[in-house]
Amino acid sequence: MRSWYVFTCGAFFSCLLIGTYNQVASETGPVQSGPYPLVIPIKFGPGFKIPDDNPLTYEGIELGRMLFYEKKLSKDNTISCSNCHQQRLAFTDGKAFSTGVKGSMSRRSSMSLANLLWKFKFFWDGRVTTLEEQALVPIEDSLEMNLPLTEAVKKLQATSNYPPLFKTVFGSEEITIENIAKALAQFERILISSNSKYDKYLRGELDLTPEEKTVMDLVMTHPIAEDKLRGGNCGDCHGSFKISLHGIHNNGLDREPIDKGRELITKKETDRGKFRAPSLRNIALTAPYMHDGRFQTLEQVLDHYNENIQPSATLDPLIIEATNQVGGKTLLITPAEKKAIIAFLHTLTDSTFIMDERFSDPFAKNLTSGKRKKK
Amino acid sequence: MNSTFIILILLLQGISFRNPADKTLASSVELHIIHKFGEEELKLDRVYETFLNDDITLTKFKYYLSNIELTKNDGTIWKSPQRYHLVEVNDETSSTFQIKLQDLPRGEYSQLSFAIGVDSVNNHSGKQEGALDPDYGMFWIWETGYVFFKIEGFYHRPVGDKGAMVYHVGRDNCYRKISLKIPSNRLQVSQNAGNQLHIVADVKKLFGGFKGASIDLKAPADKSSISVMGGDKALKVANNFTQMFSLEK
Repeated sequence: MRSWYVFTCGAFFSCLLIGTYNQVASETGPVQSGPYPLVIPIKFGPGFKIPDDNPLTYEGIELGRMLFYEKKLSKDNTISCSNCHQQRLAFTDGKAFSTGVKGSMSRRSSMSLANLLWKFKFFWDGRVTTLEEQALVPIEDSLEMNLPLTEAVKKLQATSNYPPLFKTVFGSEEITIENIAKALAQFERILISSNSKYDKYLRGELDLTPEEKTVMDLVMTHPIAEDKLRGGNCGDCHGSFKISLHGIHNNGLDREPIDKGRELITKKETDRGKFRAPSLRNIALTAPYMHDGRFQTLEQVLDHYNENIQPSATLDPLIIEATNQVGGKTLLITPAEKKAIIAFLHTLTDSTFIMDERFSDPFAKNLTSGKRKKK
Repeated sequence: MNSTFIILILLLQGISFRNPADKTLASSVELHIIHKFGEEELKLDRVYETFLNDDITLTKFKYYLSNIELTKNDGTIWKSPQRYHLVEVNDETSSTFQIKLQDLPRGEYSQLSFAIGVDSVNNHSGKQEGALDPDYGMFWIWETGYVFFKIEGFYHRPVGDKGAMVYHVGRDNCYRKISLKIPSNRLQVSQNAGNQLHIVADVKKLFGGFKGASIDLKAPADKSSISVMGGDKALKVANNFTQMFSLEK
């Protein structure tokens, strides 16, 4: 059983502790406690809202992390959230459709979990507005973890380690559905990625070559052929410093989409085939692409936007209208521009994020320390 | 005794003059901006006919309304401390956008002014918070600044096919100030709650085809699409945009 230590200490002692955090944490639980001081990266801004009834705490985040990697939250104890959201792949799973319990196949591709703190809508169709609501859906979903939430509560309640942890975080050993959601949401909120080459450039920590700068402009620019302004047309839906906006669009994948996307939620035909524009952050790690993982490579994605757009009633005007040649019917960027854009997309990879100990599997760490002990 | 009272009142007033935030002499006004297309309520994905007899639908309607000022009969100007509002009409919003103006002095007001866009100072530097958060997709880069308004949608042609239109207008030279005269007895701000001022924004005017329009935005005869981001055409579209606004009759 884990024991929880509460240290109140001066700055000097804290520094010592941070240095030894990794070793201590694996055996004794978190050494830090209380409110979690969220560090907001430069340029990411205050455009987020943490619910008043679920403030971030060290203990809450650590509990959320354990639940995220907890296989007991699946029907047959075989998978956890982390099966479909693997840290090394920026919290995706490398598959077109994720695999749930007993090999069931989910309806859509697993989405990357990064900088969700700044999001107001979740899932490909934007069906829920808070992480607390989002966190419970895959646990219950019959194609994913397939565990009724009341059973999830019972299973955790029956363990020796979880009730005291819930007591520390929420004041009661009695585990509730709501508190499972809250802890998971806390963990998801600290999954902040801000250390790609692009971020470092924005912070002024490194310079891009003139060629790299030109390509960045190309990626972010909406073309105006009449003004000879060339653009890759990515920024309208994947812009800003986080390379992620709030839009939901039909990006021309199908004339008649099999998966109707947001229409299934809103029941409006005008939402047919619309999906949230995902973040391009860590995009080189999150193949295959699109809600159904139909594209294996970034080259295929660029080919889609450049020459394979499928018309339909809900296709976004920003795509229809964009061309680099006067009178052009498609985007019409050159093969060299495609290559350059793909090179830029690789600069959005944040290797710090995928190695960050705070986001990693706490149980795997126990295993390694256990092995070490045996030796 | 009486004179003591008078002195006390004078003292209190003195304090209130020095402290404009004194709530006892302040009140609030709700500004309602009612978006219409001609006589109809503005909704996305609905077919409207422009003055130029084109059928159109909008899929995005979003703009910055900023720097609201109210002028009293005596010429004193009250400036809203909340400077930037990102106005949007979409599936999840009402076609009427409400702005609550708080802590403004009581009295009768004769003019409302506001701007469309972001003023040049904050268009090129500053805190990108609240309505100015780049995540709302209304920011290009510091060099070019914010998109002042985004109008996206389709032109429908009689044969059934359609062309896309994208009006993303920004740049400092497209920043526009609008002043609307308020008739007497329309906005007497008292201590009572419920002071309201209703503005109509008629989006039909954006597309021109009326006397005094700066530009007529006619659907192209071929299948080509329309895009305006900067340049001369954008200046004229910005002029049309300002003509949308009037006091509700």
